[in-house]
Amino acid sequence: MGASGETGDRAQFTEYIQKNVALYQFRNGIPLTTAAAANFTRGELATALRKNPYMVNIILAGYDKETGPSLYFIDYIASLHKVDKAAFGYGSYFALSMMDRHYRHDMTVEEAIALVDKCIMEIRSRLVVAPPNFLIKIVDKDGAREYAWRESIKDTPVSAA
Amino acid sequence: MARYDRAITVFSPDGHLFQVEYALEAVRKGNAAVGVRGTDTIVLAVEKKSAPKLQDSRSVRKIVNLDDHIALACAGLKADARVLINRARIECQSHKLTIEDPVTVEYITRYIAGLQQKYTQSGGVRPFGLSTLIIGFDPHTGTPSLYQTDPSGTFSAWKANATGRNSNSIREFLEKNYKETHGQETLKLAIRALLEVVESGGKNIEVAVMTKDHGLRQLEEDEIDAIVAEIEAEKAAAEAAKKAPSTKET
Repeated sequence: MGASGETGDRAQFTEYIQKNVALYQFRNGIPLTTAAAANFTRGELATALRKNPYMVNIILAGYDKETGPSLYFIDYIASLHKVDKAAFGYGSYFALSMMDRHYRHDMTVEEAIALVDKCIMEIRSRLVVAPPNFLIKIVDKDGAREYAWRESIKDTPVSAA
Repeated sequence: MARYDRAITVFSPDGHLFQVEYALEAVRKGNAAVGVRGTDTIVLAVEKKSAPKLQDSRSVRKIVNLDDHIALACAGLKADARVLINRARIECQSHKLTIEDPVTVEYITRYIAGLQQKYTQSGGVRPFGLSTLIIGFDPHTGTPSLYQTDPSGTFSAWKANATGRNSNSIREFLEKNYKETHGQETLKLAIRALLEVVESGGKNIEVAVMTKDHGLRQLEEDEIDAIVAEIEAEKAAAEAAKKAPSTKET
């Protein structure tokens, strides 16, 4: 689950979803499917919407043995779409255009990473308030894992006094 | 005496809570469960009563996961167990959500025992009719633990324990034969203890092993059969060794 938006809401909401997904697995002995998790997430956002809405936008990625990989776009007013590519934020204007031009549904992992890098380059060059560092993660049959960082500003090690 | 066991909030004149004691009776009628703690392995073994032919035995799991690093087996009323286990599973996740840390074995045992105690001190409710054996590894230090709770809400840590039917005989056996073990030896000790009171065979026992790196693993029937065969062979060899010296003397 990749999330952006209000910092507190983001942490609170995504951790809540995480723990409920884990609880489901212990209760029922099998993990939630990606579609079920996406619908659950969307439902929670919708329930909170007319009382205290969460200002969080979410891109949910998952791999199911039967149906393969799937991607879900969930925005802060609880819209839910199953998509092949998604982006949120000011950078999305550039990233989505890039993906419209270069995305193909039969891309390999390497080609997908190359497309992500193209999007990052666009964001870096076009966006005035571009974030300096990016983290790329991959979700597949072996689970979710960190793939690479794209850093423009590295953490400087604190020198000893 | 009969007047003091209606509502459980009432003490009897000689200081008994009869409903709690009757709940312990329910536990004594439940199937036998054994837990053994080794240095790197903890084993739970539970007696499996012969299943009716048409029942799908996979839907009746007696050893369950509470979290990735905690498991539970119980003896007594299975319906009460379902409720208690559900509450414990929720607490495990809730703890991770608020404290950002997995529960320790002691914490969740204390929680379950606290829940069992609450139901001995409220009006109109009866105690949970089960004792639990809770095993797990401490999420930070990795030390293995085995705890037991009972319907009164008391809990304590054990090196090895049994609950349910014939638990006294199993405990006697464990007291005589317990020593620090690891890996396969812990597994064999637990199964040997259970076989004291249960008919031998893979289809009468459910066994699960927990290790720090692999979590809980339920053993397949043929794996259990193989270990049972090993144990019987060792027993036979020990019997033969005992008989052999006496024949040589004559």
